[in-house]
Amino acid sequence: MSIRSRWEFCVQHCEEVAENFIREFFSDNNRTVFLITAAGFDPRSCEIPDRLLAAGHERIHGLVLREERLEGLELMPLADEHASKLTGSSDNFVVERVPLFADDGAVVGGRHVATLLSQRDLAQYTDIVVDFSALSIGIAFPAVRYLLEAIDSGAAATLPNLHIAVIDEPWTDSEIQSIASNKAAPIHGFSGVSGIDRAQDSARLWMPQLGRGQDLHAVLELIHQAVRPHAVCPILPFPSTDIRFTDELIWRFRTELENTWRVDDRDVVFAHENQPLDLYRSVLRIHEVRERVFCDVGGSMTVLSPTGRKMLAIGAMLAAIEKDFPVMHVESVGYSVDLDRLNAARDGKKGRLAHLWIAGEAYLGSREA
Amino acid sequence: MENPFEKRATEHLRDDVAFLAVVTPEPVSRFLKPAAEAGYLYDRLVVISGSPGSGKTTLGRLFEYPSLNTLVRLSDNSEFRDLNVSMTGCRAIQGSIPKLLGCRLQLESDYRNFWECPYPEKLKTGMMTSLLQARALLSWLRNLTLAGISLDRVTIVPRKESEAVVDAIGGVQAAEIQSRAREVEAALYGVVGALVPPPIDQIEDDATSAYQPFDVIEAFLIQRESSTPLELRPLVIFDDAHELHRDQYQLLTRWLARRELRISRWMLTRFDVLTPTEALDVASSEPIEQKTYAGITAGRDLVYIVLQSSGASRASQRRSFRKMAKDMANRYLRRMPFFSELGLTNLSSILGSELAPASNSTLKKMKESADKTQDRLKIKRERRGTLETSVDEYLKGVADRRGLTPEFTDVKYAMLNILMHRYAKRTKGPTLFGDDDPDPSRPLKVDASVFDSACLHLLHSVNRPYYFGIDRLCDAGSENAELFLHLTGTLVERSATQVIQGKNAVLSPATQNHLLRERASDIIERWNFPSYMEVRRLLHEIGTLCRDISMEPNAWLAPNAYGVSQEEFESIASSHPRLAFVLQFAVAYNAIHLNPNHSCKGQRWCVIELGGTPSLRYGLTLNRGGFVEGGLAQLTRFLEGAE
Repeated sequence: MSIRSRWEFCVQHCEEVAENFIREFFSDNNRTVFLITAAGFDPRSCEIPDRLLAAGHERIHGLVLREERLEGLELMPLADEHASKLTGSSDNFVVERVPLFADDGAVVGGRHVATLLSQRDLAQYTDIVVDFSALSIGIAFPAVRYLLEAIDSGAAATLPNLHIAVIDEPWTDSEIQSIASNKAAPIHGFSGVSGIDRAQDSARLWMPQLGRGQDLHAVLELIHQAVRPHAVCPILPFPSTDIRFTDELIWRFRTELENTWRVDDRDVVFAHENQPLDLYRSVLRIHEVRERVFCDVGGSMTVLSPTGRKMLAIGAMLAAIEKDFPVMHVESVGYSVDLDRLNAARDGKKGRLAHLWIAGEAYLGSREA
Repeated sequence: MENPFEKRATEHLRDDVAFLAVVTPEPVSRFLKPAAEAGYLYDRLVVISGSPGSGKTTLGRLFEYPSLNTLVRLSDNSEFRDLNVSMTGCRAIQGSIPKLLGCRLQLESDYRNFWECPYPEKLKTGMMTSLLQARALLSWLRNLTLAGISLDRVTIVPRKESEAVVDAIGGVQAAEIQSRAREVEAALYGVVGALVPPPIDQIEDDATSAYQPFDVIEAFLIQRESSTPLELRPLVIFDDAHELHRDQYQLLTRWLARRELRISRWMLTRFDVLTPTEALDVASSEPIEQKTYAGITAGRDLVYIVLQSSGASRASQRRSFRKMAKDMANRYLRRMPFFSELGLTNLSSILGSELAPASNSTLKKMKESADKTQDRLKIKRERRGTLETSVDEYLKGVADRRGLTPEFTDVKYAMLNILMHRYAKRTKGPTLFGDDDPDPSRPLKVDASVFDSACLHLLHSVNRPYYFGIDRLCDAGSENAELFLHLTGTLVERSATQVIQGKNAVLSPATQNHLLRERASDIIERWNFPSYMEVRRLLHEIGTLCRDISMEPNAWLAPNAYGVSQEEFESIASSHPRLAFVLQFAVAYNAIHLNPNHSCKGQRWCVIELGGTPSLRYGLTLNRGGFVEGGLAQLTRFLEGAE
């Protein structure tokens, strides 16, 4: 990339290094931390909060979001249990219910969470952590964008740090089946300029992330119909801990690749499964090249759909924020989980902690430059 | 190999010529021409409702200016003649000139998002209508540009009463109007796209000031070099209007229904946006009551067009769909060079209809079964002989009509079984007078229903193919274009595979039967709409019940539907709201079809008919008529899986 991107040198850690960072960084008594996390059925709901509370107990203020969906009510008791555990761990943790859908099925969760955050005085914190582990991207993405914009527009002297943390467990994700709604729409705050008249002349590139979700075919079809791209560059996770995963996805989506989307072999994007910045850089590089090619004929618009692994979704989010790309998404009306199978899948395995520091002190030099 | 059947071709084809080549004119003539001839297709609000895949968007795109302009250009091409005639019949084209400047706006989440902003209703509605008008204007002008018309040749013709306010929309010149519309659009987009909506006092003036081009514009005038200016009537088509909040939808409807508007305006919608009662009303053959909003009179101010068969003419409408589907399939097949190079441009030619004869062992088993039935029911040999003769005569008639020499011995035994059971039911055993071959209380008819039931029995007992041939394929489509294409796509794919393997392109009935049932199950498993799991449970219970009844030995009924008393059904929204909610989506997504006020046995029924995919999945007839009697309480138990 010829022009330096915002997160080209993003501070990121994973596994033991991330564990050490969190333990040491947040044990600093001068730090007051605002944690945004989710209390749902996901067994990872309490993991990041527990780590932060262990590092700096009274200094951690938690906003625990209860995402309320239309289906999957049988998972509510587990979510209640996690919420109780979190509020029981600290008096500074409050639970807020976030309805994802309005009474007519319109997606409103992202708007609600942005409004919630706008009512908070962020200046009282030195650090803000968004825990992606159990948050859905329809909530996490607008939250991060709102926080970033609030920080970017604030005075340098009171710049809180913004962190993203996630416990990555592919085996857990595989056991959670989402029940998708039937509408594709941009994630709140991520419409880009897709709706503006002038943008209709742009050459539209759609970059969907392929994954294992049971209803992903239907979801991608909905998004494809909404985007009507001129070209499709699907994103496949490679390298991946499951070395056959990429082959499996190519086979699974062969009809889309060969027929519906007509993807050329050379148009597939391979992104490291555990390195969000790998995808971030790839997307920006592709966009930059296309901008040069199409600049005299209406420009290029890149549309992202982070429908696969969460780590890659974070990379897509960063690219979308930087270049104001539209992010098209189909919200889940609920989830279907066999809890016994889920527990068996998790048994004996340890999730991989990842941390990205995306705004604040670490970037003060570049901000002033 | 690209398979256009698999990919909703009309929505993926950017090129207008390619798009027009696959559009069949039948729906235009069937649904829109009557309204055009009656004079109310363009002078009032028209609401066009249909399930997904019923062809709403295709119809909408057809009336956009680039499509009309291209069609006019191709008026001498025989391939497009029928479509040209249909569009002329709809007054969209006249004397090889387009009369309409059509644009289509997708009512996406932007408009719905206005409703979540913390502003007074009047402001939110004003913002929404301003954005709609700005985008409509930009779309009209864009469509003219795409047709090669420079904007410096374009002006608007204002309504006489609005000449004083023309400046508010930028004047009469297209370039200035476009510039103003862009300003308004950008300002409103900034409000609706913001993470947190700005306070009212910080909203830009362009987003809140009065902007009403629909009240101003009467027509567009295009200056032409060597002839008189071309006057075009603007038509705006709001697609996916069901995406709006219900209150927004009502407000928009009221706003568009105003008689003083000169522009033509249509709304394309599914049934989701309506309440369950309204949705079920509109989807039914005869609406229980004509739903209107305050100040709006249905008919005078707005017109409903439903893209599915209804009323007494359902049989003819089914035939009409068959004709449309065949035409559509043939057009799609012609787009596949693989088939057109082989001269296979007619779908019927790859759907074989000659059944392989049943094996000797199967026939032997069936004969033995018939013999056992005769013994068990104590039916005299002469009576059996009479029944067999009647069956033979009937089957000969079928063979003669089809012009084939099919092997029907297996069907003969199955029909005989049915008739013997019916005979037993109608005689109730030997009489007191020792006459052990009594006549049945009602004569036994050997007709198409017995034949059909026998074929269904054989489908389930020995997997004799039932779903094959072009007509069955069309009927399985439930009068939904997209469903028909999806089912056909799997057959076309297999035919191509056979050719690649050096075999005949023609699919055997067994192959068609297997593929269609498999595809139907796959479609149901991939359903993805609100309450789809409950819909699936409901269909499973009804489908299984219908199949069990169809398989009864005397085949007294071959149902593919469930009937509730009309009186009970009319109270569904209040008595069983969850069921009403689920049924609304089942109707909206073509899983079921409602046929209310159906008279049977001196009663009125609302019949819930299973669509083509569940009928295929559960092995039911595709013919209409038979239904299982039940009630809302049982349907609710079905929903809960408690039955």
